[in-house]
Amino acid sequence: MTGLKETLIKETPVVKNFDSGLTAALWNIPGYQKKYALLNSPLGSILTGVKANGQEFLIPEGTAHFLEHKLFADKETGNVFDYFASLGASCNAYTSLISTNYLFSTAENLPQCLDLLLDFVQNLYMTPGSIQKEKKVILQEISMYKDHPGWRVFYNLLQNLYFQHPIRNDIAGTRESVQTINQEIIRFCHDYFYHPQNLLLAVIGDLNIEEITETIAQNQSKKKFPGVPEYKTINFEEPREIRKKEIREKFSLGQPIMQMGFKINEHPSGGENLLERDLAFALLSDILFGTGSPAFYEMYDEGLIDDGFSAGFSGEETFGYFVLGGGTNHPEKLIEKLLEVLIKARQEGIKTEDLERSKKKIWGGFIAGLNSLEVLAGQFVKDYRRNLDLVDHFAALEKINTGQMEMVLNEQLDREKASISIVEPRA
Amino acid sequence: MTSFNFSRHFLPEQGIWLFHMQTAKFKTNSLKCILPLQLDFEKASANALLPFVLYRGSEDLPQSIKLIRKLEDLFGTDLSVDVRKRGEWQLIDFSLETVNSDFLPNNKDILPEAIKILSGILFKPLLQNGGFQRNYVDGEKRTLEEEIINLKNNKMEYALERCYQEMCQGEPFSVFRYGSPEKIRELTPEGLYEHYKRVRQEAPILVFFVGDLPLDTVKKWLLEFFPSREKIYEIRQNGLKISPRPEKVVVEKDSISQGKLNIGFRTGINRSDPDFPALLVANGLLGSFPHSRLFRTVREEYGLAYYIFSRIESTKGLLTISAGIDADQFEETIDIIEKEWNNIIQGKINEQEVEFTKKGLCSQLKISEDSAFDLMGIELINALNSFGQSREEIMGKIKEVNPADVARVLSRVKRDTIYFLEPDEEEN
Repeated sequence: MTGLKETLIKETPVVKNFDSGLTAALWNIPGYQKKYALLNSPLGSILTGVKANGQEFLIPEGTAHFLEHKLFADKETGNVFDYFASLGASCNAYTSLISTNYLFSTAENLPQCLDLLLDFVQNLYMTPGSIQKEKKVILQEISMYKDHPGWRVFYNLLQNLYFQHPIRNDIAGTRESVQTINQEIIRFCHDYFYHPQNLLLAVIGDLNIEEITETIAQNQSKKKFPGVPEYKTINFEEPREIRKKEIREKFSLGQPIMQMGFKINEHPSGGENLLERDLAFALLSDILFGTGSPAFYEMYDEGLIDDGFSAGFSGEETFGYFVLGGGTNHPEKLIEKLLEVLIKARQEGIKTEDLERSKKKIWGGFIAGLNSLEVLAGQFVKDYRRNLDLVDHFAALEKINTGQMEMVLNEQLDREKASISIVEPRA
Repeated sequence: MTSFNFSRHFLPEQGIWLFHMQTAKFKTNSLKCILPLQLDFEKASANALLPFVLYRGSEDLPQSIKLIRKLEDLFGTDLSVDVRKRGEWQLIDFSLETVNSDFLPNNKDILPEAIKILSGILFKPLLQNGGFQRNYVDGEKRTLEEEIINLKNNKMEYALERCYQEMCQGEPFSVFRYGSPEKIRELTPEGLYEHYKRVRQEAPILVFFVGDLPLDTVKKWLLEFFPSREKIYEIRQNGLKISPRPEKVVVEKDSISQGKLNIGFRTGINRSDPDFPALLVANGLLGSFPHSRLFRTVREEYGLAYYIFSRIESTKGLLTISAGIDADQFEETIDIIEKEWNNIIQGKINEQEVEFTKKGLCSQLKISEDSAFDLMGIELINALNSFGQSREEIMGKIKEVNPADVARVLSRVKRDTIYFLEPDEEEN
């Protein structure tokens, strides 16, 4: 373990703070052709209201995603994609529950690409016409997702688990909510959540750290930013109960898809505790339902599941849910079986040998992921926002014991807090 | 300094082509084992079922759970099995990835053990009464059949597959990579075992290795764990040249909210063709980048689509354009695409877009050095195309492509089939 720690520490980024307030992690990984940068804003789809300047601002569903589209399209100075293309780079962006991320990868011209990334994200330019046109594209994106039964079943599940929490909303918003987004709200979001104080930049690859530091410092010194905007997130009161037990939707599809979701109401605070919860659920789902579990083969051999079956947890400080399921011809039998496995596990407890094997598997998977610069950068950003680093993952994994997992199993996976979502073929 | 080129070695006794690259760049060692089988309607289902049945258990590790737990104990060694289609080849693909000993608590090398497990799966299958074990065969038949039925759950992929089926009707390429439910149902444990014996005896095995181990070590393990074989067939190209025929338009309905458009073209160009680099540039300029014509017009200028792109299948010689659009914008979209296409073949191309595309393609090829599986994937396609051109050669030639080459190569490409999966308004 000590040796491993040293091996990993060799690959730790240098974190710099710039006068504008921007924080950047510069990560030199020799031997890679690709240089990758990720600029992260804390505006995610679940941020739907803040208090600032003594006022409440409500942010319509889909605003974070809309702003992401808007920053790309129709800049005063020309097309962002073209600028990146002229540098041999490719750029993209995505919006998640808790953040918006702008990224590029390139084999050359890194300083120019960084300038471009910071400029197009930090400068907001809009006209009423460009807003209307972008809405059309987003409506097509919403339609595209609507045609994915796998996405639909999950969206319906979240709608069932939650009354208020914005996690129940689609990241892109709805056809109606998108129409209510206007220049004023976009401007507000940009001022607050894209202020350098709130942005986090990760640059990774075979880098000259001094040169890159200089590039960023110069870029930021040329810009003027208003004072640091203070705001407080408005959190909605979310009941502990679930909103609805079951939902079914007809779809044009092959096999039905069933997902069972548990609403988790105990939310730890602080990075280490969040990480511990993530790991406890990852290990638990692997031990009980993974491809190395007896239950997996019982269900497989009975024809209840195929290899698309999955079990997984997602959670932050205000929400948590554990979802199990996949394609099945027998949704009812599968539900019954999954509940049986949980009951049996509660009676028998978690075996140490199973935990040790599962830890090894998660260890290996984590290391393999670190071959990818995208994964490294994404992991850094997530960890940094949680005040963690890479080594913490291994330490937490070593530490976790069967008792903690049994506590999760006994206290957090409550049948009364579970909802079922099914999409099924039209007759 | 690693060259990021594979060295190629033939092991005649075993009928193995070994593609080896040593590098300390990655935290894992990766090994991919490919059996290229001729794609054909009769055998496709048996070919597809085979690796999934083999993966359920071997003589040494007779139960799935034992096999999987063994891999998990090797620090989550990833062994994945799949069947893919490249040109008129159906590829059985076993991919192995083990963590380098530097990143393991006891610094033990686990690759040899993993290769031994893989070899057991391939060559020491679990048998019962002169066939494969019945419950494994039945279980995997069911799963495979469901996989085929569930193609309908991914509308984009479904529409593309339907476009290929219509376009290549009567050609092996129209066969789905998993075959058909009807043929799967006909398979028996005994029949599948007979089929296995032929494949085992005749199919060449392509082994790709990327990791921090010298050639001799990898070779030694292959010689030790893989059996000797005779009568290995050669990898020959086919299905590239198809005589021209009238265009086809196929419209089908489904209860979806967005129409899925696919337009199929014949390029007749594979990686050995001198025009291949020009085709890459033409495809890039047309539709594989955000600066491409189709994205710029259909999405950015007209706001008709969220996704629109083109891609090439470089073994069969196809190009397809895919887009998600509203049903009433079908004709408008086709018109815009046609107009852009004609602009390009008439030479209305500016230097700048060609430059952007060339830079983008070279960047992609360079960056592929950062992923062991990308490197192996490119080398695999090369192996199926009689080792046409290496990455460096292609990069060099891309840089020489000029607007006239783009116009010329695209004029060689013929539209064949328009397929539209249309929202069914009555149902939706």
